[in-house]
Amino acid sequence: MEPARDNPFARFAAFWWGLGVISLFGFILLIVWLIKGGDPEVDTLEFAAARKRYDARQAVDEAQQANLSWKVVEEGQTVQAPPEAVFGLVGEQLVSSKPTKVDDPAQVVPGSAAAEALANAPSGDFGAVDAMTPPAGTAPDPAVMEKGKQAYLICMACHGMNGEGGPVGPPLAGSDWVAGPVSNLIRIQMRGLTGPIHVSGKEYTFPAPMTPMGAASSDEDVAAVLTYVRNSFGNSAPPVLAEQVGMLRGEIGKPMLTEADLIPVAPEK
Amino acid sequence: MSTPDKSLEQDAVLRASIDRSLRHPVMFFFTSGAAWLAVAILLGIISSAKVHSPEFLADCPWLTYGRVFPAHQTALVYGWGCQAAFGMIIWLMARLSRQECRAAGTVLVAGHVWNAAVTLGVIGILGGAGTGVPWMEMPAFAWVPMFLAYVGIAIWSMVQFKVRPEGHTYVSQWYLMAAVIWFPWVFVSSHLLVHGFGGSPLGAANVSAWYHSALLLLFFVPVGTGLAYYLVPKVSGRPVYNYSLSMIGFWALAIVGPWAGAQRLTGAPLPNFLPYLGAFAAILFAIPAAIAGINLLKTAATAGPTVVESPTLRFTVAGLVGLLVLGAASVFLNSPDLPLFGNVLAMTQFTMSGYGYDLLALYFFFSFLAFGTIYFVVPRITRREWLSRRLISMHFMFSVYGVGGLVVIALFGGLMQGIGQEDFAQPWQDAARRADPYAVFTTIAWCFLLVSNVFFFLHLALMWLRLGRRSSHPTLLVKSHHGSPHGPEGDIDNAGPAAAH
Repeated sequence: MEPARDNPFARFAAFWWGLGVISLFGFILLIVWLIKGGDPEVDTLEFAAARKRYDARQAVDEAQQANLSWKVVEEGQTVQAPPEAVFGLVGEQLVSSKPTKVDDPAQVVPGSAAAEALANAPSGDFGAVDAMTPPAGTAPDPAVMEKGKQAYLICMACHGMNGEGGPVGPPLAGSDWVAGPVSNLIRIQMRGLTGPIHVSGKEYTFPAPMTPMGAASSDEDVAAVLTYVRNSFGNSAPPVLAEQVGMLRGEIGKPMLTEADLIPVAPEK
Repeated sequence: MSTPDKSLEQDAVLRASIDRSLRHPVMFFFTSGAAWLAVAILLGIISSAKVHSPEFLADCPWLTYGRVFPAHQTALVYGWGCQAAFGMIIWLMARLSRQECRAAGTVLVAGHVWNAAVTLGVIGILGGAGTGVPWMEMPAFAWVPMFLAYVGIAIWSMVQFKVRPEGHTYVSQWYLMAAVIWFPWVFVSSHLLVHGFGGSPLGAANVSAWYHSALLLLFFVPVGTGLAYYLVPKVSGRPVYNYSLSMIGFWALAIVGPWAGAQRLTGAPLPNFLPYLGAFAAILFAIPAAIAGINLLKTAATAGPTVVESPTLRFTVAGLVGLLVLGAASVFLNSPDLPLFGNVLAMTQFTMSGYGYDLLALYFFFSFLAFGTIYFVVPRITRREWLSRRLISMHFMFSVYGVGGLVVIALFGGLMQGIGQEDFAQPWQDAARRADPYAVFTTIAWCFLLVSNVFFFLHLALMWLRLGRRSSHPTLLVKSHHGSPHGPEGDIDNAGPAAAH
């Protein structure tokens, strides 16, 4: 160690030398910035190129601000309020408001308590629908029969070409359900059918449920195919009216039916 | 015969007194740095887990990815990296300049100011006040106190260097002095240009990209390299393999380092030469990395058994391998036209390889050097030896496996993700699916590093409490059993570890 180097004065000088070296670069930057006027938006090429965008943005901002400020829309009557001024009021109203009963099934949130209550509600009386059925012996309209025959091409896949049934669908020919209340048939079209079912005294269980085929079809189409089924394969029953189908549209979206949900047709069931 | 003995004894007394004068500041930087490392690792696990499992902790706004990831980086860089570097700088500069520290109190106060600023900064980031500028994420209030604290810490090393005895200036001093000067230049100019002066946001993006790179290449790399040039010859007892080459390596870094950075903005609406100049400099960084790495590995290779047995040399040599990998990764990831791979620079630009590259530099090289330094320095300044060689070897093994995973991520994961991203005919999900296994790998790597640092932090805390072994024999990672679980004990320390050497 050399005392000549390590003396208080040398340390003092070294301290200021160190400070100078450490801050030199920052100082140079600061001086350059101050000489340039300290204004970040001096007229550089970039700013000149961007000026149009900035102007457009300013115009948009001002227009939006004008539309969001207090304004008398109609003298002495209506005032337009800026959103932030009514947030509190809207919030209070929301908090103090009570839920409104929803009538339209389409507005019910699936899976909600309301939907569950709706599904579990006792079925209505479908007597009014069944009462509209034309009297026995009424001949079906041939045009409707033809339309139903076309539509039956889909049903055929499970119920058989002649309504004889198969491994995935019960027979329609001679079925007591087909000849029974019309409301049963329409509701099956709207909601589908799952679980075991007794047809003419015999119990059937299928791997897959009957899908709600009618939900996506028009009232006329559903009525036509049901009329066709009721008057083919040896069946004979009064036709189904499109009005009857329309009255039961509200069934769409409810859980699938089981045999217990239907109006019974056979005493031995 | 009596004269050299006397000067040897004086020398040992001087070294011991330097170590004693630095005990509190250096231990403060190492222990609080280690605590920040633990914080950084926890935040790193959270943020990387969110990459592959987005619903993880998704309900807490303080722990959303956009906050946790920058907080993780800030804690890693400023909490752990910078503080470890400060401890390394002030200790080695005092030793090489043969000066006791006469301002330990000021350094300690400055260290607390630095910690307070980083703490508030990280809380600010987690609270949603981050700036969104990479590596400058802390709210703008933090950088001025951090700079003042830096001055209070580093100025004394500059004074010591200035009043050092006449004679040779060792290469480590070149590296440390350069880092001490470069850090404030890089730090202040970047923060002034981004937070201070305003101006073009594109210019600020370029400055922040340069800052990111300069902090790695002009601060962490020179500090780590300077320490390596001290530790390897010191512990192995061999001279540097080619000393003049080491000076060439230093000047190569000084010439190449400042130009790198803008390659992170390839394709941005900047003058086209900037990103390619940056990529060129980043590729050239392989030269100083290779010079330092190969020179020191050749030095260590002449003392094979010491490398295996000494915890310091184990970490240092592994870190030097990391430096070589870092140089190779710089060449690979920044090549605009590589045979077989094509434009890797563009392909990996928005991928995980940038993060992997940072971790290579910050963990595989710098942190390994910091661990090596800590295993060397702490026994000298606390005058206690490490308690358990098993804790040290566990720390080493878990760290190596952790960073090994990170290398795979940086080099292959980024490439896979980039191939997916460049294929514009495919949905974006394809790129995400390609990156997914590597993101899981990142989390696993961080978990390994967490385990390794549990061992490290426990050990360091015990040393900080001065519960280390009272022995003058260094802790060596030897397998053989002795009567004592720690090997043959030397004299119970009362004369100081420097008495023998």
